[in-house]
Amino acid sequence: MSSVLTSLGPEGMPIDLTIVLATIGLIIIILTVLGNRSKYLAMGLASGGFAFGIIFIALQALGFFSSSSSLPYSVPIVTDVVTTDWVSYIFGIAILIVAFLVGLTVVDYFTDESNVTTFYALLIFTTIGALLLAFSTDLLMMFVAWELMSIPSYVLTGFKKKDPASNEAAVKYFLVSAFASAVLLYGISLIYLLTGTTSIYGNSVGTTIVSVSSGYGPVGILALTFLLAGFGIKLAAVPFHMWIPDAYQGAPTIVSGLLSTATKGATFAPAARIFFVIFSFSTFQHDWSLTFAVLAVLSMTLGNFAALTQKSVTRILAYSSIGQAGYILIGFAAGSILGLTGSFFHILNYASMQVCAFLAVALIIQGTRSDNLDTFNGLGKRMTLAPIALTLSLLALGGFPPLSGFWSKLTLFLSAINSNLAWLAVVGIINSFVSIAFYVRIVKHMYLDQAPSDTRLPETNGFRVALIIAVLIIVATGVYPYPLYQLAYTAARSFLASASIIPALLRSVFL
Amino acid sequence: MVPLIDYLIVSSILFVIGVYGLVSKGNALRLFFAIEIVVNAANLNLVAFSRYLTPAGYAAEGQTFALFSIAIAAAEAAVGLAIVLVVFRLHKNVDVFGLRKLKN
Amino acid sequence: MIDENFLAFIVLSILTIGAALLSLESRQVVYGAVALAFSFLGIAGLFILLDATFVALFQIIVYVGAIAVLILFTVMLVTKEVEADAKREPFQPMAIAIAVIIALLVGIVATLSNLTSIYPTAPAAITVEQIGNLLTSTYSFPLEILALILGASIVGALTMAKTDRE
Repeated sequence: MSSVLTSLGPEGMPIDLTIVLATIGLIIIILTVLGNRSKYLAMGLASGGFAFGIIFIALQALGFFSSSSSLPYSVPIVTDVVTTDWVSYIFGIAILIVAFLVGLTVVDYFTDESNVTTFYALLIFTTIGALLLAFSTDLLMMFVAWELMSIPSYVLTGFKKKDPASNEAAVKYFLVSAFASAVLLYGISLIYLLTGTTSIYGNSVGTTIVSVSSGYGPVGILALTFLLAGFGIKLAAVPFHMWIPDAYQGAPTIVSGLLSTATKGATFAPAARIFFVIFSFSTFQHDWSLTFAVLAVLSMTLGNFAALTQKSVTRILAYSSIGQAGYILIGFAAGSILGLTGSFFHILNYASMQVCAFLAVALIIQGTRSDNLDTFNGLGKRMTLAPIALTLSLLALGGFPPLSGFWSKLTLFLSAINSNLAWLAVVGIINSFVSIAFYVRIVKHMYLDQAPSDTRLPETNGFRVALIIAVLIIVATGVYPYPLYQLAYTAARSFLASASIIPALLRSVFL
Repeated sequence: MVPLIDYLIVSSILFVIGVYGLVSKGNALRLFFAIEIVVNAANLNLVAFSRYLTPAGYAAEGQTFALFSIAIAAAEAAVGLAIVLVVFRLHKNVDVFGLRKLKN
Repeated sequence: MIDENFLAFIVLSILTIGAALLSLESRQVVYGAVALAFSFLGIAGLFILLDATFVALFQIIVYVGAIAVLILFTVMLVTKEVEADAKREPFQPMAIAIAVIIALLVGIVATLSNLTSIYPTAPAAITVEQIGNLLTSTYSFPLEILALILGASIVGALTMAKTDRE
């Protein structure tokens, strides 16, 4: 572990990133004694840290620091609690881009809070947690990273202390999320019972201890149930989704953007590792694919249909994020290389689309002071950038052809058909059409309806920069999807290869 | 000697009590109690499994995990109770279902 | 053939489970908080039975000493003399149904699996040295992240709890 500190290569990357970001976070904590005077300095430091992270991961992915052509389809290093593989590159870049964009807007969003600098410190800590969640290959590391991601985000949700809605969102989010961690811990303890180790990729030296006999099968199923519930709550997949609309509506809107993309996206990484590696899901695809398919169908259908009836734009986005989680789960249900490619690709796209939508809505709400759909009437005449960014991101979320969301959804539906789950693809396509209805409704309110007044609403610089970057990502990926698709494909292929090379610990459980 | 299944029974009873509390209670503090009960059930599992299942050399993993989980529970309690305090200051009430400021 | 180990196990289990139930069902939240502390103590006793003395000590220091006291303080700050819980509904059929379903599920699983035949293998207890070795080798990185968690939680709790001047 400690010898790794000097290495700039891929094996040391998670630790290098953590050290840099944590140092910046601690410096920002010291800056909080200066109060709001230090907020621009904190913004610079945090954005610099996130930008460094994005560049660092990109260089690693291009093989810049390693002598050999780095890990094309390599198996992760299993002796350690963290690893660097293509899956962690994908999630790392998605998380850091979201954190970077959100970080740009914080100063402009919290105009009347007394200590904005604290927000940056907590933002950095929650980002480190999300990153390490994607890197971790050990259940203990995973749990610790999960908590580092969660605990600061409770505070971020309640950051507007004088706003009753923000308070309520914070207490609800805290209770539900803490319960999720408790259930997850219970599930982890059962896995420990089955395998005798906390390492996800097993003990490579061959000291797997408990002779896993067929008699443990029921315990394996119980463990899977608890883990599904724990992850499901964080992912807001349907039977566990009730808290999402309240939390996202009450939280500061930019925090909703962070929670619905970085936190949610990062949760998919350990879920994939646990279900595909420990439970060797790809081997037992027939047993578990139906579970994920049902979760996917429920999430898509309920999320999209509930969004149709909402009057508040943030609630619409909250329900739409439930639906989007359903699309991502299609890839898990398919369980093939193509399916996981679709899932990873959609997580990347979903992060930029959803955060763009939430940031645009945050900017609009700052002007109109309400998230009701009717106050969005005629916004096209009162603002320039925010309506355009919101329109593009909503169309991308709905899956309009030249934008990024279209390609990843296409991959997901094709993978479902490819894995003999054509009905799942049909449900997904129907849902896409339903979702277009409410996405386009927001656009219609903004451009076709009569504005209540003609006064211009302010657009601040931080939001401008963030929205332009997000829109560029959406459009560029839509026009030229090949590089990101290739990245997702490489990740899926190497991930499934590693999952099948290492003898799955619980394989005998289900035989 | 006590067989492992007895510890598993105790921990699952605690888990069920926790879930029952989470579904039936409205008071934020009671909900927090329920969560702590579930965490304790999981810790009991971890320690029991590390005693019963693993031969010497790797047996400490479960106990170490329990140590981590206890420390993390303390951190979570600090933040969570601070949030409850803030909610009480503003709403004069900690009943989660009584808040209902949101909705359309 | 009841030996003292088994007797202690039964007593501690009843204490833990009973206190846990009481913490949720007591008339006032303050009593609930005290009951919860006793439940934590019961768990610590079970840890000692499992030869995990270090974890038991940690449990008493952190859970009983810190968390339970923190909960008690919050309860005293938050609740008024007239307990809002007085108008609580005594029976929630939904909740009890869910609890029964989960209990049945766990029971079925426990009887189906062959866990009943597992007894402790070696009497050798895990020493603090082994835990320390793990903490400084395999788990050194998670330990550092744990420090970040504690730091973040201090900052977070202060941010939430402090009253803004002006």
